[in-house]
Amino acid sequence: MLEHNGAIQEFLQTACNQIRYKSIHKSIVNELTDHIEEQKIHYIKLGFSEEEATAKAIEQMGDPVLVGKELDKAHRPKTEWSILSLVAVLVLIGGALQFLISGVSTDGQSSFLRFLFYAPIGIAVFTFTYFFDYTLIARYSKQLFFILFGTAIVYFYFSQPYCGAYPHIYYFALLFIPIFAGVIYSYKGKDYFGIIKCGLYYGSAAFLCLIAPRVSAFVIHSVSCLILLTLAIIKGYFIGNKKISLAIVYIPTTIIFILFTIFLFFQSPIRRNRIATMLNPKIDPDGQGFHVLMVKRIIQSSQTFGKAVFEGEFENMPIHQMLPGWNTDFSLTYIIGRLGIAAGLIIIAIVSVFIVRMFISVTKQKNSFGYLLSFSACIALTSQFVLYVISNLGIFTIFSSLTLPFISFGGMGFIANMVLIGLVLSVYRRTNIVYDRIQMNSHNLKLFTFEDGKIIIDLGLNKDKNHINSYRQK
Amino acid sequence: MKIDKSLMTGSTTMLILRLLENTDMYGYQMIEELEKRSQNIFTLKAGTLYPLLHTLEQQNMIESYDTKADSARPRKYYRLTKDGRKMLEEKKTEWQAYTTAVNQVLGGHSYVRA
Repeated sequence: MLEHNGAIQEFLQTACNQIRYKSIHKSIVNELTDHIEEQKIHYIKLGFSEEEATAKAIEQMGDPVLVGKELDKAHRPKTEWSILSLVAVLVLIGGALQFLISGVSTDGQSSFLRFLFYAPIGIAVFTFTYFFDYTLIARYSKQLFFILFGTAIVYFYFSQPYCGAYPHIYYFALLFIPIFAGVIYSYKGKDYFGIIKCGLYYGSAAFLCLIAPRVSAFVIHSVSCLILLTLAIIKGYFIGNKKISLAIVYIPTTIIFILFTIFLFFQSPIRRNRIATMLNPKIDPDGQGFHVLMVKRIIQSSQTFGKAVFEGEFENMPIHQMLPGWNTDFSLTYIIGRLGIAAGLIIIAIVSVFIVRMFISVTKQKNSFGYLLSFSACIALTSQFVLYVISNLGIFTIFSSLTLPFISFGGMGFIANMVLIGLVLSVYRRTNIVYDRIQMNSHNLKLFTFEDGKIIIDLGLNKDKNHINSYRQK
Repeated sequence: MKIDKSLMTGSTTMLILRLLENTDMYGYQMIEELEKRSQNIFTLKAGTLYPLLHTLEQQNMIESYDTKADSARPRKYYRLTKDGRKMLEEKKTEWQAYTTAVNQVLGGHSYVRA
């Protein structure tokens, strides 16, 4: 039992009052109490009475206000201004683009109004995510997973399929990625079965992508989860041989991937055509290959500055009539065709700097959950950027519709991506704060296991020890 | 002998890193050890030590872990990281250059006697 004597309590209270970050208080109180107690014992051994010893031990600590202030300085939240301002720039580009689109033709008319509607919601969601204690995701990852899973299923009944697919799954798939990071973390310290269980969580979310069916969501989700799980294994989150762990992940993945490709290939002639067209769009220039050929044509005809110059049949045709999806899935192509290569390159450059800054912020992270979570959000954002840019430059055909985070049209995508970047910055913000707490949890892992909403306490031989641990755990 | 505090502030970080160079320690132990090794010339207040330790931990120079020590409560130990070792080497070189310069100004080469 921790019995603080009144004077010690007072010292600690005064010091903690200076420390704005409440979540660190407990860990500091523990450390300082340990110290004072030890100092006190030392003085008692020297022959002082308990009261004198306590007073001297506290005096030895120094001025509580000063100590508190110094500790506050060490645990101040950090702001990643470069990422924050890059997000602002990207959102403004998005706004400008939607404004441009609104003025072009009737099918894009409401774009800017919609932007004005969803942008504030997205910013509010971002602010919430930014200030929210992300460690809750680690603690309630499974509950969050099932809530999201349930919502995604319920959403099927309220959403209208678009071109035979349910678009909402794409956004849910994005949000599943950080939650999957939490799921992996909850199996930290487990053996091979932990990995298999992670696989089952992944599989259920991937299944939703397939029944929707949203291939792009499936790809982004699968690749992200695979990277996360690999990272967790390499970092030694799971007990056991790393090579065997990797085999548990990669052998089934490869087999399923091969079987799945074969299945898609033989399932229907449409799919077979799609895959063949993906590899060579020229075999179906008016059907499946139309989009990518049109994108290629626009890119090839584009000028450094200003509108692209076309020859032949398209000479006087406005770009928005040439390219379906110009205001959504092919905004970047549209920008390049309409404003010139320079405009496109500026956007790609900003996005690249943004991606690099995000990953740098991840590497600064010391606590393992923060690292994994922030990393997961980074891959979710990066993979969208990469796929969008690839398809918009006509490098590769991607049939599923895509999002250029923060820029391209779409309220749900905007909000989901705001959550993701909010997580990255929230983790960075708490770099100096959450550290201790997470570490302590991981050290107490064997004493406390949190499963299905219940705390399982493994009482050791020493009751005192457990009590202190439970005190620290709170 | 009492030492002017301002003389110590610049070198405290180096001293702490040096203490952790060979063994992991907890806060109280560091203060004791420092007193012992400096023959009671360096008395570091706990109030100075912990903020410094926490800052060094943020900078990834040291890292902490809990142990179930022989006593009833788990202690928070600190250990030097790779970056910390590098920093210590840099600080040592810097210190050597500094003391050499100071001593040269103070009294030629006679400082060796001390």
